[in-house]
Formats: sequence, structure tokens, C-alpha cells
Amino acid sequence: MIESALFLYCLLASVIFDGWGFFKITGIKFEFKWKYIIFLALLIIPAIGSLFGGMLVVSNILEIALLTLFFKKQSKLHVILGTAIFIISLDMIETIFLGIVNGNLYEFLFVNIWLVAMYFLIRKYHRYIYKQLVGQNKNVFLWIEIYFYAIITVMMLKYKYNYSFISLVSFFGIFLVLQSIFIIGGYIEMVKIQNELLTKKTREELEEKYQEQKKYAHYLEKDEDELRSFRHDYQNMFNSLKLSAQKGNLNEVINKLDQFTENNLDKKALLKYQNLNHVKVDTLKSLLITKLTEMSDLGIEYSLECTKEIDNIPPEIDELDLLRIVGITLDNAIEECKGKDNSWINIMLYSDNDLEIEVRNSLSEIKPKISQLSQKGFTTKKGHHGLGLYTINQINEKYPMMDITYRANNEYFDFYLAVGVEN
Amino acid sequence: MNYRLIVCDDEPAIARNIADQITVAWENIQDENEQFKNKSLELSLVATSFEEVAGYIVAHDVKNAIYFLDIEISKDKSSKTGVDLADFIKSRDENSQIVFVTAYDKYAPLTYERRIGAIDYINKNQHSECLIKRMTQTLLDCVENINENIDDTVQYFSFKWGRQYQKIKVSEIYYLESNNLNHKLNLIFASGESEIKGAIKTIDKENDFLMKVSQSCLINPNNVQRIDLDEKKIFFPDGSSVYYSRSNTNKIIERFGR
Repeated sequence: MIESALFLYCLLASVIFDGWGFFKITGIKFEFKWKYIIFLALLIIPAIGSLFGGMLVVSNILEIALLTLFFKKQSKLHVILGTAIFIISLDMIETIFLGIVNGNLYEFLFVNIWLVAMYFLIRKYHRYIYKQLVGQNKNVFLWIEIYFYAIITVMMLKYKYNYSFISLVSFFGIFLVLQSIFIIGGYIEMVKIQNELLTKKTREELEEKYQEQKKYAHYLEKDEDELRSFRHDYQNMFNSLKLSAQKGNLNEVINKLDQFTENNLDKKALLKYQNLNHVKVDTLKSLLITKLTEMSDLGIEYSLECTKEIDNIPPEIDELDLLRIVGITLDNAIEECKGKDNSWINIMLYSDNDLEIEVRNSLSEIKPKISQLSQKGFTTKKGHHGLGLYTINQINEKYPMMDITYRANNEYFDFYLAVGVEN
Repeated sequence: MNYRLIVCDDEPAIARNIADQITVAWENIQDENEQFKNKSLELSLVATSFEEVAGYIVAHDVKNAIYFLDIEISKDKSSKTGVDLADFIKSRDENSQIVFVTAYDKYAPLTYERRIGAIDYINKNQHSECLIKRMTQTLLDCVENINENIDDTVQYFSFKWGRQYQKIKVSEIYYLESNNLNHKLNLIFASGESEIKGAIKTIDKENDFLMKVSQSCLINPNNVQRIDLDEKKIFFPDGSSVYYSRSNTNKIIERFGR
């Protein structure tokens, strides 16, 4: 009598808990529908079947199938399957433990403790479980779940029901096969994920390269129109000169030449394509393009000298550190020059088994005191943190073979960096 | 006083023309400046190649001369350029004054400054009038520089700055202060500020004209504007100031008397 009551209690508790757990993890809203009653009824059958060991596996599979059928419209197959297997695995573990516990009272106690523990467990981790079921590794997770369930089932069958035809040898044999299938399957899945990530990364790198090219092309094309009009003027001028020369009017020719020189040979477009092609270090080139474009947009006159090809950065210094220093220096120069008339920035790069970089910019106000500039927090810019030169000095301290010198007078501010230059 | 002039351009007509214009510019200078009446500018050489100039200055051991060079002195890309020539000249004649006569505005001025020293530029495509005016100014600068360099009484303070040794007139130096942040020294002078490598102690020992006023500061007493004994501050013409240490108070009073 007590046993039946206990059984019924376990059954009910199990069903309710399973249902609650399922809804909690999948996130499907529980709405009362008639079909749920049918569903419950259908569940009773396998539940009774669990009394008879062999039926247990069948009943589990039935439960999973039913859940999938009923809810496949409300969530992804993965999620439903994964959740179902998860819940049922918990059931199986419970069953195993129940096999250890003897006596109605203890069984009753255990069931309650177990349910309460599982309740809190699912309440805390249902989100995490759901994330594994939908995330990048969902296939692996599912695979592990199925494996886990299979192992438990085999163990449970062996332990609780002790079927004689599952001898020890065949038990381990099955175990081994299951392990192998798991490992191979898991491995295949992991490799697949790796490849996907790699493809994604390659794609991103290509995209970045493409953007770089675009930026360079944009920089070069900016004055294409101006060059075209210059060529046009040039041709016109020659024609006009030819006419004057044919007429024998020497003075006219000279005047026209003077005029043309004055008007056209100073054109900024001609000065623009300055040595950037000598910089062979892609990252440095890219940084320079960005900054030069910025100067061009702000109307700051600039020049870039790079008379010798720069193939690489000296190995003694970390590339990122150097780029940071150059970036900060150029930003400072731009900040000082923007919005001011007749401002200019001259940049020099030189490499002869070492590297020299110089940035000189015009000053419009009283020259700053250099020792002040290097202090942390000092700045003449509004709302800025004043970390620029301080950061540069910090980086400089890392490299004993790097030499940075600042110079300032009433006309310009000069930044000079030398790496690897013999002393 | 006799100043020597050497011109080089790969086009003989242009070389000749430049030489003529410089001559006119010099005459203008003499007309407007009394002290130039007894100075002459000798046109030593009008050349059209690197070898010509190099050979000449070696053979005649030319010193303190003025050179007007075209940057591209040969159509052949592989042969030596005006820059190479300037380099050669500087190595033999430290005080040579070099002026690049170019068809562009300025070609890599910073690069040349680092490699060869200060160089002046003249754009040869200007109006004859403008060109001569520009040449006048340039010649005056050259003469002034040569005179200064020849003058033994002018003292210089030299220090290594990147690749090169720079020198600044002692009379222009205000003070040297050690910069704790990056273990360098700040050199403050009339026309600027510079960070240089070195130690206060060593520099003090090697330079008589400097006076040590604290652990971290050397001053040039000749350029002190005023002293505040109460706050122990020394002021300089550009408005900046340095502190001196208590232990040097007597030295200060002794030197400046105030």
C-alpha cells in the first residue's frame, strides 16, 4: 500500500518536475492547452513502463519523441531535443541513486531532496544551459549529452536490473564502442567549428585589406581632377606659347612663361604624391595615409620626405609601440595646426640600417616649455587628458637604443626619433 | 676679406646664368652696405658635374666657400646628385655654405638638414628680379655664417643630437636642467629648447662657462636676468626660471652680489 502511494508520488513529482524543467530551460511559455492533457496521459504509459526495466529506455525515447512533436513549432529542434535529453538524464541519475537507497522512508526523503536540489540547480543555470544549446558549440554539446545519456542508460540497466545477458565483457565492449563513437563524433564536430572560425577570420582579414586599399586609392585619387586640369592648362599654355613664338614676339613669350610659373607650378596637387611609395611597411604606411588625409582635409600644408626606402622597422623595437608614438606625435601636430592660417607640418622618414623619424610643425602661440609638455596631465587642449607626450616617454623608456628629442623655438616644434643609431 | 663662390648645374647655360645673377646680387649688397665695399666675391668655379667640383676643391684645398648647387646635377639617375656633392663638400670644408638651387620649392629639407647640415634653398624658376632679391638675402646669411665660424672668440657648446653633433653659441645658452621623467637634460637657450643626453656632473666639469646651482641645474650666469633671493629663483630673459639650492646661496651671492 505504502509502496504504491510512494510510487504514485514519485511519478507525479517526476512528471511535474520534468515539465517545469523543460519549460524553464527552453523558455517556451506555458499556456494551458488541451493537448497537454493528452500529452500527460501519454506520458503515464511510459512512466508505468519504467516499473519494468526494459521499458525504461523505450519510455524515455517515447518521452523525447513526444516532446519534440508537441513543441517543435515553438522552438528549435536542437533546443527541444537537448532539453529533453537533459531532463531525462537527470531522471536517470535519480533512478540510479534510488537503486542505492533502501527503505520506503529513505526513498521518500531522497526523492524530495533530489527534487529540491534539482529545482534550485535549474533555476540558477537554465540560462547557461540554453546558451549551450543555441551557441556556436551546440552540436558538440548535444553530442556530449547524448553520450552522457547513453552511458548512464547502460550503467543503469546494468546496475539496477542486472540483466544476465549483459555480461561484464559485453558491457565493457558496448562501453568501448560508445566511447569511440563519442570521441570521433566530437572530434569531427570540433574540426568543423575550427574551420568555420578560420574561414571567418580569413574573410575578416581580406575585408580589412580591401579597406586599406580603398583608403590608399582614395588618398591618391583625391586630386585627380586637379591634376587633369593642370595637364589641360599645360597643353593650352604650350599652344599659346607656340603662337607667340611664331609671331616672333619674344616679350610675350617670356611674360606668359613667368605667369604660368607663378600660377601653376606651385600647385599643391603636384606636391602631394610625396615619397609615400618608399614606405614599404604596411602598417606604418596605412597610419601615414590616414594622418595625411586628415591634414589634407583640414587644409594644413604638409610634406612627407622619405628619400630612402623603408623596408622594415628595426627589430629592436615593437612595431605597435612605434606606431603608437608616431600616431600620438602626428595627432599633436595636427591638433596644434588645425584651424590656424599658414600652418604646416613636415614629416621626415629615413632608414639606413636604423630608423629616423622627424615631425616638425608650425607654432602659432608662445612656445611651450618642453619639460612641462612631458608631464602627465599637462595639455593646452581643452577637454583632453594630456597623456600624449607622457605616453611617448613611457614607451621610450622601454628601449635604451631609442632616442627621442624635442625642440621648440618661436616658429616651430620639432619631434625627432632615432632607433638603433650608433652612439 | 675675400669670399669664394662655386656654382654647379648640369646645364652650362643655367650655371652661367646663376653665376651672373649672384654677381649682380653681390653688387647690390655692396651698394647698400658700407662694410661690404672692401669685401669681394671671387667666382672660383662654374661647373657642370660632380667630378669637376670635387676635383677643384681637393686640388685647391678650398675652405669657407659659398656653393650654389643644383640638386639634380646629372640627367643620369645613377650618377651622383647635388646632395652627394653637398655631402662631399661638407666633409672637406666644415664651414662651407651650401645653397640648393632647385626647380621645385624645397626638396626634402629635413632630410638634408640631418645628413649634411643646414642648407638654404632657392627656387630657380622665379622672376629674375625676385630671384636676385632672394639671392641677396641668402648671400648675406652665408657671409654672416662664415664670419661667425671663422671667429675664434665665439664659443660653442656642442652636443650629440640623434645622428649629428649640434652646436649652439655659448652666449645663447640660458641653462640646463635634468628631466626626471626620461633621464635626459633640457637645454634652454635663446632660440629654443632641446632635450639632450648627458649627466649634469660631466657637463659641469667639461664646460667652464656653466655654473652649478643645484643637483639638477646648471646655468649660464651671463644670461641671468634677475634673482629672487627669498624664493631662491633665478630668472632668464624668456621668462622661465629655475630654483637654486640652499647650499649654493653663498655662491650665488658672491657671483651676483645682490
